[in-house]
Formats: sequence, structure tokens, C-alpha cells
Amino acid sequence: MAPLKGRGLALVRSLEIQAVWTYERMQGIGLGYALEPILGQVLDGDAGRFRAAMGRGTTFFNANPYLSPAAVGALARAEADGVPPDQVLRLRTALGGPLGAIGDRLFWAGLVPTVVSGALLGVALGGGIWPVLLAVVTYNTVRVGLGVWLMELGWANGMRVGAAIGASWLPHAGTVASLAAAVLAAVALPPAVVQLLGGAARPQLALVVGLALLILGARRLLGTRATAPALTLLVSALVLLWQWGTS
Amino acid sequence: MLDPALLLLVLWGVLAGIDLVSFPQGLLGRPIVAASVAGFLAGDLEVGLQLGLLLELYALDVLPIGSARYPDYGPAAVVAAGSAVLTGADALGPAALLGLITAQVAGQAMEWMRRFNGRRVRAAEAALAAGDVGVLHRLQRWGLAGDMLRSAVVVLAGLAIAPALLRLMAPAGTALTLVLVAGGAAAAAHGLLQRAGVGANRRWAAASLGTGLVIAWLL
Repeated sequence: MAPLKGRGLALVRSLEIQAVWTYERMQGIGLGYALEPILGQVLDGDAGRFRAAMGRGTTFFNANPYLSPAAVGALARAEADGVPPDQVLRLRTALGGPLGAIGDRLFWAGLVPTVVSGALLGVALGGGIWPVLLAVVTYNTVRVGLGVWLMELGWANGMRVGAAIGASWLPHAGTVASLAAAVLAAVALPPAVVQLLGGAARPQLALVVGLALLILGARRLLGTRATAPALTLLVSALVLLWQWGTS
Repeated sequence: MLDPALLLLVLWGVLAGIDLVSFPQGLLGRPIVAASVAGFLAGDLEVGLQLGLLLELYALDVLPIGSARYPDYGPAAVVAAGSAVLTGADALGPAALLGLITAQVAGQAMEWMRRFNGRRVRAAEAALAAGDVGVLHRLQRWGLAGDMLRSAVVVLAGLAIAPALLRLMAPAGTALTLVLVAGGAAAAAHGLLQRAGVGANRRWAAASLGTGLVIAWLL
């Protein structure tokens, strides 16, 4: 197998895969932009194939952005191997589902809330800015390292990348990360609230807990549009009206 | 002449804004990060950390998946922390409320930008299908620039109206702080319930909440 050339630039470009996110193509434009440096290397000297591959490269694509380097590697390999265009497009469509499901679970439901909750706990316990900086460095180290590995995995497996990801440690990591997120968020929430209330008296603390339960109950009762921020804005407006009315 | 602290806040707000979806999605737009740095840049890290802590509780309830619409807490956290420090606000509540409102506006602006991007991409469909790399580069550059502009406008507008709004809300400062903390706790708890799902994860979360309550009691 030929070494993967242009992967550094492709990886940097994959960080901006959603810069031209649209409802029609979703991340399609960004994926094409990330593919270009590799296709430029592997199809060097064949302008016709390069342009045709780039034409396919910007069509609809939707997956978790953090796992998109796997698609970049696999699609570039398929184009380099001269896989028929309809199969390349099928691979593109087929990859969206698993990369979305595994990535969303690993990042949005797992790593992001885990790292952020860790930072919240650290700040609540008086750690200052350091837990925040540690969270940013840890997260980005994991994210970039994973991106390099995924791009290589995609390039090495080409059309079989879906099976390779399924057989890897990634699906299990999502399960572990989402459990870690639930645990850390639960540990961090009470200290964060107490820290925010500072030296508040017990009646105020009870008021906050009662109001939080009321908002939570209203949210579950009224459905998805009645989000916590929306309900908070409503209660805040009532507080302000009452304050202005009585002053 | 533009105040250097204000300029730094706007630049940081732009970075925090584009981090949400455009580049690099590296946690810079999370409220705990965006507000802390904004507090530091404006001259009071502690206020930034507090506002970051509070707004992050709301952000923990956001799942930014696919075409979901959600508030943008990055520039909002910069506006909240920056304006709280620069105006010397006493209570967290009014600044956090300003942040919450700004986040809704920034999220809506993201929606407009996506529709605008859609129009530009539709106009370039033929060139994209022909594999025109120059058009692709232009679309990508303008997409990123558009998000930078969106974030800059949100931060500038937020910081511009902040002094008047914070003054108006100041008498209700303590009450608003209680409401905002309660709302944040509700949001974070909702996010937690979503993530914990059912079964073993929920039992682990319940046990962890107990641990958190003990830690809070010891604080």
C-alpha cells in the first residue's frame, strides 16, 4: 500500500469540515475541501480523474465531524484505487450512519460532557483556571490523535473501513465515555450549584432546588420547546416585571 | 480609540463563536472556557470563572447533532463575562441573563448563516459538480469569514447594549442570580438524565449524584 500523502493538510482542513454546513449537503463541501490535498497527491498528473473525484467529493455527507478523517482516508483510497464512481458515492452514504452514531456517542454524549464536567468540578473545588486549561489540552490531544489514527485507518481499509471501525475499540469507547459523562456530570452538579450560590442561606438554597425541580418538571411536561433556558427567561422576565412594578 | 480590552474581547468572542461548528471545535466555545478567558482579558478571572460555571450548566443540555438548532454559548459567555467585569456588576444573575439572551440570538444568527451558505452553494452547484477547486476554496473561505462576522456582530452588539441592560436589571440582581442558577441546575440535570438513559448508567449517575451532594455539603 502506498503511503498516505497530504494527510497533514487534510487533517487541518477536516477541522473546518462544517464551515460551509448547509441543509442540502450538510458537511459535503467541507469533506471535499479536506479530501483535496490527498487527491491532489494520489491523482497527480491525471487532471480529469482529479476533477471528477472532486466533483463527487463535495456531494452530501453527514457524520460526526470528529470522525470525518476516517471518511477522508477511505474515500481518498477508493478514488486512488480507481473504484467505480457509483461505489464511491455509495461508500460516502454508507459511512455517514456509523460514523455519526459512534461519533455522537463518543464525543457529544461522552468525551465533551466528561471533560467539561471535570473542569466544572475542578473550578467548583477552587482549582481556578487550571482545570479549564487541562480540559482544553486533554480534549484536543485526544481529538487530534484520534483524527490521525482514523485517517490512517480509512486509507488502509478503503471500501472496508466500516467493518474496520466496527471491529475496533471505538464503539466500546463510546459506551465507556457516555457512562463517564453521566458519572462526572452528576458528581459536579451539586458542588457547582453551591459554589455559585456562595454563602447563600439555606432558604435560598431550598428555593433554588425547588425552582430547578419545577423547571425540570415543566420541561418534561411541556415537551421539547419548553427548554430550561426558555423557562428561565420566562421566570426572569416575571422577576424583572415584579421588581420594576414594586420599585 | 477602541479600548484594548474591548478589542481583545471581540477577537476572543470571534474565536469562541467559530469554534462551535466552523473551526476548530476544540472546546474554545464552551462557556467555562470562553467566559474564563473573557474574564481574564477584561481584568477579573474570578468573575469569568463564575459566569462560565453558570452558563456551562445550560450548555450541558445541548446535543449539537446534525441539523439540530441550539443556542451558541461561546460569544454569549464572552459578552456576559466581559460586560460583567467592565461594568463592575455586583451580582451574577443579570450578566448571566444577558448571556442567555445573547446565546439565543447567536444561535438564530447561525441559522440565518446556514441558509445564506445554502444559497451560495446552490449558486455554485455546476462548478462544484465539475470539480472546480477554486470555487470550492472561495466557498470555504467565505463560509469561515461569514461565521467570523456573525460572531463579531453578536459580541459587539452584546457588549454595546450590556451597560444599559445590566443597569436596568441591577435592582433584581440577587433574585435573578437565584433564578439563573436554578435554571442552570435544571438544564444540567436534564442533560444528565438524557445521557444516563436507563438501567446501569442511571444507577451509576444516581450514586454519583449522592457523591456530589456529599462534596457540596463539605464545601
